[in-house]
Amino acid sequence: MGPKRGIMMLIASLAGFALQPVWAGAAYPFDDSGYLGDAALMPDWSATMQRQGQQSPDLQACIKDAEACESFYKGIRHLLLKAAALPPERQIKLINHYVNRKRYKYDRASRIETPFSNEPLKYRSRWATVEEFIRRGGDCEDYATTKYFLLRQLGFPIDQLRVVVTYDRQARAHHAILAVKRTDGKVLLLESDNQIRLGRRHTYRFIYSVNEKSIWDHESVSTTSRMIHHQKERPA
Amino acid sequence: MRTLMFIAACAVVGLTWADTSSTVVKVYSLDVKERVQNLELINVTAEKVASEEAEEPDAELQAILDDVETIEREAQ
Repeated sequence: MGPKRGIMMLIASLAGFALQPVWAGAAYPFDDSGYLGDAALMPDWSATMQRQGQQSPDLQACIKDAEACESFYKGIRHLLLKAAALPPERQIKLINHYVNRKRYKYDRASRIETPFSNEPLKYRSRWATVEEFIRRGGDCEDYATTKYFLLRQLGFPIDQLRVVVTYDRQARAHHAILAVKRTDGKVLLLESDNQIRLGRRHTYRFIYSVNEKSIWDHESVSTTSRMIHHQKERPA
Repeated sequence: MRTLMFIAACAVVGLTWADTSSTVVKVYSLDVKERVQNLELINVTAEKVASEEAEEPDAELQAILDDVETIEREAQ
């Protein structure tokens, strides 16, 4: 083999290596790789779960008795009662369509200080509860959190659900979706454009995900794993 | 042509080599708390309009959605 061919082989191999995540549109890694820590470490998400917990008794009371319903919960009550009679796959579809019909509203810019940047102020997303979303609408992470809480209300276990933050190369913006792991192990990605994708979208780079218990960091795994050559993880 | 096929074969080998399906060791340059704080600073904003490729709800689901919409409109 001549040196020219050797160099070409090297370049082609490196190109294949570098393009792999883009080309293949890596599937969402719904396992424990990238586990970062307890969900309580993330203050905004933790606060959202706490508010949802505080608002939940009102929703439960409403579901039991229509007379106990606040006006904004009446539609949700009907939705959940009808959905309860459906199989899981159709519950997912119904909840996805219901939430996606709601008004899209950008987060109010909240200014916070950060020690990780030279810029003195930054903006960040605020995560909504079901009640907050129904009353005010929200943006993509609020669509995802509302789907999460409604599916939890319908009995989906925590371990089957994750709110996933991605970077969408097509929209050139960060985006949030809900990932649902079916009992057969396949993963559904519930989109705010009404689509339900099976596990992957080629324009997405998965960054992190959360549920009520945990946070997973997908970016650290995808970048560092390439440098460490597939060493086997030792049990703690 | 032969060269092109050769390059394509090498690219396939590269892709296979890059497959990260096996278990990996995680290394973080930041500690967990800093990493979480950085993640939380990400502003999640992408707005998506309804896709034409999306499957429409069938009659049963559509009827539920319509009922819910009517109830919510009347409740306002």
